Amino acid sequence: MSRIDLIKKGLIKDNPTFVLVLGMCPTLGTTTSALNGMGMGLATLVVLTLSNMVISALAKYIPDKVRIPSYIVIISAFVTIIQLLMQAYLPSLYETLGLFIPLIVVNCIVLGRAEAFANKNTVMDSACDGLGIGLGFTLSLTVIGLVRELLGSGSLFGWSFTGGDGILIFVLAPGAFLVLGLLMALFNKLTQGRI
Amino acid sequence: MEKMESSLRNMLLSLGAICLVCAALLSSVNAMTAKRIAMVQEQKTERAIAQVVPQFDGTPVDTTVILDGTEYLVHQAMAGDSIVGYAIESVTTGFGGPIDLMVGFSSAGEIYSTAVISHSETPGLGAKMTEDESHFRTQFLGKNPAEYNLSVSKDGGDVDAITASTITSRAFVQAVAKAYNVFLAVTGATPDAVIAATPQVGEGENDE
Repeated sequence: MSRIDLIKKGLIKDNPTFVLVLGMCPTLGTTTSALNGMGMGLATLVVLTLSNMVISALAKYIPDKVRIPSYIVIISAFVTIIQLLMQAYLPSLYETLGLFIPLIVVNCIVLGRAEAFANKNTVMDSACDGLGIGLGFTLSLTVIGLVRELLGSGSLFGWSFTGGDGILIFVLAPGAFLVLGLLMALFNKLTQGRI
Repeated sequence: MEKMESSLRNMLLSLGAICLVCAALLSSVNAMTAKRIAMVQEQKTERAIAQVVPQFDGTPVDTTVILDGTEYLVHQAMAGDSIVGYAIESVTTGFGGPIDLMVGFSSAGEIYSTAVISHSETPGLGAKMTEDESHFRTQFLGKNPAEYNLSVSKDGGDVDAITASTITSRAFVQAVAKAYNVFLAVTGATPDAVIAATPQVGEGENDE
């Protein structure tokens, strides 16, 4: 599989949200607006790409029996570094996402890609896989956030075009499930028979 | 090279080495960012103070007040030799978690303004309390809690709560009321409070 294909497959064929249905906690929790969803997606993308690269480089030196603790230590180190950098240089984004950043550690997408891909492939291939899955995750979260923000607060990327409120339930937790389910159905309808 | 065998020695070595490298990395990033993070926090507090008290000169004078076992930080804003206002940080528990509020009083005890420093209220409901221009926020301005009943109208007070967010509104009002009690303590109306002046930090230096 070429590297372009590796990146592409994360967007549609192996889309982490709509096909693999992994990492639902950040998906449901952070997508109250398009910007929040995108921020969470991008933070995950960075962690996923970096951890995939490091894990594939080190895979040979990590004995099988301690591979899970080793992966978790590597992933949580990256997450903490990103959290500190964000807190120092992007305080406004940190304010909205702060709560969810530590959750990237337990995001099953990150550990899942380490286990399923990075530890048996080359560093470059693993980087492409991380990038692809990360982009797929970012795209899905942005779309869910976009729909929830549009219906729930009547705005797009923070730009409001209605004076009043939207349909509040869509910014609340039940709305996350509704939008996710409906978008998943739409995704399946559009890709029917092709994946 | 063959994959490493899972012998005790190998496991200890590889996991130990990974932990060591990660720890070194984390401590260096922490050392790099700690100063800036503290600065960002400080700026946030300064902005909140400037928002809730009238125009003042220099840096506000910080005082620590212990009231009912809780420690409050009081920032006194000075213009010339006279005190123009007090900014008091007050924390209560709202619907989604702690609400950290900065409440500003004029020297006469009227609420000058309020600012939300941090909160985790529901977006679209309780989070409306962060909108500075909303009726919920403006109704406090210029009121003196001595003759203004600081509780929501549902509980017999004078404050209109945010629709469908009574818990948030109650917490907000409670934070303002707490801050007012601290104000009374600072100005000497409540004798049993412990007031301790925090050591002044010299300009341009940081005495951590």
